[in-house]
Amino acid sequence: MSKWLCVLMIIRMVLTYRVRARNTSADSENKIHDDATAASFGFRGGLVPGVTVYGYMTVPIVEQFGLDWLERGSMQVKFHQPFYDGEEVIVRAEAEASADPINVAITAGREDGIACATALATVNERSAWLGVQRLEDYPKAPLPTIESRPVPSGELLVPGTVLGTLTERMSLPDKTVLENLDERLQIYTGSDAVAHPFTLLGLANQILVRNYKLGPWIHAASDLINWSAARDGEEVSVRGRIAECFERKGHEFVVLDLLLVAEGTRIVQHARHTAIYRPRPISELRG
Amino acid sequence: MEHKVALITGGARGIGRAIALTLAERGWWIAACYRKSEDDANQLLAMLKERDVNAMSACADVSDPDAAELLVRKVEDAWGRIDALINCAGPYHRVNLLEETIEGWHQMFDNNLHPIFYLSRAVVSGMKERKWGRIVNFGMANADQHVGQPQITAHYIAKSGVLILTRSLAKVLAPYGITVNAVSPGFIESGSAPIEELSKMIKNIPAGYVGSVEDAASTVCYLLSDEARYINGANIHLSRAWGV
Repeated sequence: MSKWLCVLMIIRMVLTYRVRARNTSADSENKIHDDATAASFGFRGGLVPGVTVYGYMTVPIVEQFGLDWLERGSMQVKFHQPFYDGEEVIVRAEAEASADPINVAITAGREDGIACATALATVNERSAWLGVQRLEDYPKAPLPTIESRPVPSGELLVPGTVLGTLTERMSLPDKTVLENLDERLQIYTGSDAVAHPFTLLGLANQILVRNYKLGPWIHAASDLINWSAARDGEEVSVRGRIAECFERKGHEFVVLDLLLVAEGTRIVQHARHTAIYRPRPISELRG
Repeated sequence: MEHKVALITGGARGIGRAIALTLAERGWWIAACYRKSEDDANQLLAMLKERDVNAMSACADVSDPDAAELLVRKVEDAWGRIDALINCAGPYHRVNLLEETIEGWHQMFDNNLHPIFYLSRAVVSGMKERKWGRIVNFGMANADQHVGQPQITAHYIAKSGVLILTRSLAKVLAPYGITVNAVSPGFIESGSAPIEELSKMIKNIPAGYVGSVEDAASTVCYLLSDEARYINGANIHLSRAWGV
């Protein structure tokens, strides 16, 4: 028996990271990142993508816990208010490091103290709290061509509908991603680099836009469990289905149940990805 | 990302807290150890969080050699290094020598002297590898005079021992770029002594006033600096000439 077992120790940590927000999707098909379109929805400017903010929020946790989170961690992140290009993002994480699994509360806030995104994360967790995921439950399906993508609607986004499978080969380190995020952690560089969480959750965005022809849309939340890291040269497929579709306060939401699989056999991530696929127009916002 | 890590025992309040906050302002990452002061530790963490500092609090009884070693291991596991060990924890109680209990007697040594040995031996291997380290131990302003102290005898002996341990560590660690020094406060308004007791003592302080926790923090910051690299085995009286 280890002599440490008799010693009680409670450890709490606070970790901080500051970064200048960058609108990494200003030229994207999703015009919510465009200043003029975003303004028509009542925003001050083009929205910094939620997945970018999520990428910022992972920095302290990855710096502190590394693969323990990237391969055995989870996060539930919600985006409450947008960040705009050039704003300073202050990421603060509070960890109960002596808990098992380790719990981490994370906020991404502005200088004025407003928390624009909040998250709860766990480290070294092996529980499948998003539900048991079996590869056979996430069958591959063909993607529609770009031109034939349907416009989503409540009638079309029926829970259980299987999404066309998106496949990407990892080319790491991805210097463009790292530069766009101002990312400096060494775990994403070198010959043994792992895929950035931004990249993996970005695939969840991609499977949505590759299956449906969307207008301006907003990433609202993600719940995810990391089961392994994706590395250079690996083919990652994103498989999934519609989990939910609902309306709230005039916004039309869709929730995707997704599995990211490396080389067709190894689960990388299980995610529930929530998007507002049709935001309430500003006329209704003001009304 | 170069950063230095300070482990501070008794770091949740009083002098330890002031040191934590001051070092944090200078870019140090802070690991503050406490035994009972959980609310104070949480308050300190909140203060450090507001200052955008990486910090941790650890509840550990460092009078237990296993807990002391585990504490060091946990901090090093988390942040890869400990550059400075600041031994602030030093409880005392006032009791006449002939009325002191066996338990109370041992507690004074267990909490004031022994943890410095346990923690120092645990942190020095990393410091030796990096050829840089700082250990600061808190003594007591007149502990080097070896006078009779019938109301705080065990505490006083323990603090005298701290000075001997400090000088001994300084000698053995000097070749590795590690300095070990003592800071010996007189009367400091740190919250550990009742304010009435401090008020009564003012007439005995040549300067006529008690010190602040910031006085202690600035002294420690200096000892941790590269400017103080040649100061080793010293005992700095922080007492405005009381007890010298």
